[in-house]
Formats: sequence, C-alpha cells, structure tokens
Amino acid sequence: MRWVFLTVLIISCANIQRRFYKPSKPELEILNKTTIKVHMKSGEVYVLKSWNVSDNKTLEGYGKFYSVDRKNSSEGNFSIPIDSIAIIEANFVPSPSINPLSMLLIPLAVEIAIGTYCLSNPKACFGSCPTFYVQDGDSMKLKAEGFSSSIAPALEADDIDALVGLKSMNGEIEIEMRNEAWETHVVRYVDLLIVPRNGKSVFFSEDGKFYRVNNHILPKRVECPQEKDKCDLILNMDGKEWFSLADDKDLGSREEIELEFDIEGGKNYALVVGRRQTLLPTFLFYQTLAYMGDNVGELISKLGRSEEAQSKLKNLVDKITSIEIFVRDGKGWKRVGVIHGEGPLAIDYTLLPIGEIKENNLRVKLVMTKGAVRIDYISLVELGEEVEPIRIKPYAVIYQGKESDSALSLLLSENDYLVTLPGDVYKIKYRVPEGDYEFFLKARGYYLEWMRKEWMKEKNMAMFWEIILRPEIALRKLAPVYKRMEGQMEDLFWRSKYAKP
Amino acid sequence: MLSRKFVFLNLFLLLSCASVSIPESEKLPTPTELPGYPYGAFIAVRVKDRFINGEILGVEGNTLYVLTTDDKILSIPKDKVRYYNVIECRHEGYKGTAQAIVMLGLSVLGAVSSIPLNGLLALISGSLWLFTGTIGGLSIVLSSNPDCYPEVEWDKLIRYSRYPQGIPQEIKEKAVNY
Repeated sequence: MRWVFLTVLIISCANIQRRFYKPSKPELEILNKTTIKVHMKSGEVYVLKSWNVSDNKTLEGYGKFYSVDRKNSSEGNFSIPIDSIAIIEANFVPSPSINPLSMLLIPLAVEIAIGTYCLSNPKACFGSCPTFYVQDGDSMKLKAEGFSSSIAPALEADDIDALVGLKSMNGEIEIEMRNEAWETHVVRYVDLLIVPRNGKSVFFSEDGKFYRVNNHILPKRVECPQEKDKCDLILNMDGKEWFSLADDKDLGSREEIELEFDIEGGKNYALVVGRRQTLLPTFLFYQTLAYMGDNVGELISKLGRSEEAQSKLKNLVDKITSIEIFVRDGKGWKRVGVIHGEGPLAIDYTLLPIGEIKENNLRVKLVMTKGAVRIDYISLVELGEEVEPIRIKPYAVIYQGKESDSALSLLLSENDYLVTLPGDVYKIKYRVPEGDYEFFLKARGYYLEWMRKEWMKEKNMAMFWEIILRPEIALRKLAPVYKRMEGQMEDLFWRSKYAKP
Repeated sequence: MLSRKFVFLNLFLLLSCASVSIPESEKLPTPTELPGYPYGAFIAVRVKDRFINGEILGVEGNTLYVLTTDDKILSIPKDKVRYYNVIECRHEGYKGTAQAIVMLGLSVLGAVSSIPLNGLLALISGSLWLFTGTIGGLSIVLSSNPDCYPEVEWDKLIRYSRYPQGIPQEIKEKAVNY
C-alpha cells in the first residue's frame, strides 16, 4: 500500500509550481538559494541566481536584467531597491522527494536483513553434503545429494539416488557436483548407474536392489495428521510436498499417515515414497556440533572409534529421519520395513517391497517423527523383476572451465579422494550407450562440517552427552529452541547457499 | 525581443488542433531553464474563426494580452475566447531515460542474483527488486519530464504571463483589439 501511495505521490507531483512572493525580507528568506525573477513595477525583470537581502531596503544579487520589452539585457551584480519591486516569482520544477536510485536500497536492505538473520542463526544456513545438478530445460536442477549421513571419515558410505527424468544428450550425461556449504567434501567416487527401462519404471529399493515396477496405484484415501487439506500433494511426482510442523514440546513426537489402496489380490507389491527431510534433522546435527564447541575434533574422532557411540547416534538419526511402514492384515498393523532419511536437499524416490497381498484392498501406515519429513509422492506398484544396473565411470571432469585430469584420476581411483571446498563446482561427464534408461547416481565419501564462530559460544558438554545418551530428554529440551526458528528455516537455508565470489 | 517565436511540441497538436501553425525559430524553455526564463508562457487561443498563438503578456480583468508569433500585441476579450491551451515548457527529449534504464538494469540484476542467493525467498526479494526498479525508473522519467501543458483557469492565467505584476502602460498602448 505504501508503494502505491509513493507512486501516486511521485506522479501527482510532476507539475511545475509558479509561486509569487511579496518583496520583503521575511518572504525572501524562505526562498534562500532559489533562482528568482524580480518583477519591477516598471515592467523590467531581473533573473537572480544568487542574492541576499542586506537590509529591508535593498536586494543585492547576481544575474541578468531584462528591459520592459525584453529586447535588452545585461548580466552582472545588481543592487535593487525593494520598494521598486512589484512582485517576486519563483518556479519550482519537481524532482523526486527521494533519490530514485536510493530506492534500490530497500530491496538491498531486505537482502542484507535476510543474510544477517542467517548469520545470527547459523543453524538455519545451507549445509549437508555435495549437491548434484543436471540440466533440466534452460536451468540446472538439483537432483541428488550425496552421502548426507556421512559426517565423519568413520561414517564414509555409499549413497544411491534416483535421477528422475534424466535423459542423455548425444550419448552423454553431464552432472554438476557442487560444494555449496561451509563444508569440506571428501569424495571417493561419483558413478552413474543405468538400468534399461524396457517400458517400465525402475526404482532402487531399501534392500539395496533395483527393481522394475508396473502400474503406479494411487491411494483412494489419504489421512494426514496435520495440513489435511494438502494431503493430495502426495499424489503427484511434482516436487510439491506435504509436510507437518514439529511438536512444540518434544521433537521426537511421532505422527502417522494412513493410506488405502484398491489393488488386485495375489500379486507382489511395493511402496514408492518420494521424500526429503525437513530441516529438523539438520538443526539437531548443527546443534550437536555447537554443543561440542572446541572439542568437536576430539569428539568426532572418538565417535569414529566407538561402535557403541556410533550405534547410539545412528539410532537417534534413524528415529528422527526414517519412515516406518506398516500394512494392515487380519491381525492388525504389521511392520514391513523402514525407509531411511536422505538429507534435506533433493527429493529421493525409494522403493520398499511389501510382499504378496492376497486381498483386493490394502491399508498402509507411515509412521515418522512429527515435522521431520517432507513427502512428495506415495504410490503402490506391482513389483517386477530384480535388475542389475550397469555402472559407468566418468570420462572427463571440468573444473574452473578446464578439463582436469587430476580430478578425473582421483574419482577413478578407488583409493584416493577428490577433496572439494566451499564454492567448488565440478562438471562430471559420462558416456552412456544408446537406449532408454533409468539413471541413478552412486557416490561415496564423507564430509566435514566447518565449525561456525557463533556455534562455539554454545559449547555445552552436558547437553551434548544428553543428546547422545538420553536423546528423548534432549529432544524435549530442544523443542522450544527449534520452534522459534522453524517457520523461517527452509527459506533461510536455501538462500544461504555458498556461492564462490 | 517582441518578435520571439516558439516551437510547438507534437503533443500540443494533439492537445489543441492541427490548424495551429508551427513556428521554427526559438524554443520554449526546458523545465530546467524555466526558473530563469524572463518571458511568459505560450498560449494558443481559439477565437471564433481562428487560432491566435503567442506569448502571454498579461491579463487584466476580462482581457488577455498576447504577443503573437507575427509580432503583434493583441488584446482579446474573454467573451471572444472559445478555449485555449497553455504550454509553459518543452520536454527535454529522453532526459532521465538513461538513468531509468540503469535503475531498471540494476533491479533486474538484483532480481536475477537473488534467485541463486535466496532460493524460495527470491520470489519475494526478486519481486521487490523489480517493483522498486520499475517505480524508481518511472519516477525518474516522470520527474525529469514534468507536465508542460497545464490546464489553467482564466483567473490564473496571469501567473503564466510575462508581466504578473500588471502590464506596463507602454506595452498596453501598443495593443490592438481583437
């Protein structure tokens, strides 16, 4: 509304104002430094660019004199008796009440405000492992994130992500691997897995296998615990996600989504779930690092050596990020498996085999931590045959506009690592045979989160050990802290990506 | 210089009538020059059978004094005037356009750069950049090119005249009645 008012003000002020004043000292003082036309009783006129009233009797100034008929003129300093002046005229040409260029300071200030908020709330800032982009139309689109759970050398792991919708161009695929966070990424390899489609979809399953699938069956009924009017968002593989908010008393609180499918009995079925994490797990991770303070190096190292600590941490991470899947049979709800979390950046589509269903109706329940998961898509599929993917190594790597043989050889070697720093971008190229394929990315490595200065101030070993040893209590204590920033976190997180200057 | 002539702006033709003649010599002041301009504004007066074009010298009661483009001083009674148009300045071409383009360019740059920086917030910050740039550019152009064609009531015409203090007797004596 303020903008509309300002616009009207600017437009309406665009008239030239002609104003007239009596020839007296108080009136003239208002016009300080304005060019004036001094109309004499005789009809002559002086145009004065600079002037002053020395006393109440004389106007002195520099400018031009014009005769009555304006045919004669002269320039110089003049001393004009005030009592011979008839009237004084001043013309005011409009100018913007504020410098229009300075108006750009408004959006700039908004940018800075967002940045400042991000700095003061570093746990809302972008992080979590290498990001992988592919060409999608005119722009690069984020399709996968690599080994997001591998936060220490001891946790180095493989990660497989579906590259949904990817097509090869002239037998070639180019993937951009970026380090967009304050992290060091240690990458052992980034390979492409391809599976011929044979007219069907192919998904990577939680049991580590690839399956062809038939017939995506959408649920005939969906019951969401929150945001019920947005439940339908899970019916399309379009990046529009359903999600709920975390509990304000306990970040470990659970919630359920229930679905009902009409199916043909007697076939093997599997559930396809497209999801990513909310920023709740990221917050917990960063908060844990903050509690470690300057002991972070020592503690991460201890974590790497202690299987017990790793197991406790894994349980906590699984509890927060995973989705438990249940199906209803004659005896009640039966747990059929777990879909693990894959980071907050890219939507990952995973298959969970359920087994043979004899009935023509299936009820499925997803149980997860409240406010921890964003769901893009859920469908039931007929499970087809297991397939073996073809693994393709990169043939070229482009770094800073040039082909980098050293980066390529590091990615090809099973024993060495390619280490990337914030702002690094590597274009990795693959040759793929002719055909119609489903593409997956297989990456291995780990990453080291950089400690932020602001985090050091929050060092609290008691809270750190509470998170590791008594997470149920820690999650209750942290609930109000997270809820204060939950609303803005997603937006702030994405705007705080590190881009090399 | 009583024989001064004026150049009309094309817009004036639209505002008044195509039958107004277009003198070619001297120009009206630009808005910037106006505060130092010692003459009256230009007027095109529609009387019964023609237009009288020239500089407003003054108004006394129901009589308008005009220095015509062919160097005559005419006194025109109000009841003979069907309508008139006043032009007090000429626009300065594309003044402000370059600044406006720079401003728009900066705002587009801001909007585009906010996409990778702000993620989803770019919807807000990008729109703000573009909106501010458009409004700012518009305000530069508008303020650099103020309205030179004021609509002036009869009793305010004197403010646009050469002699707002009243017409000197020697000028008045030269006037020919229309």
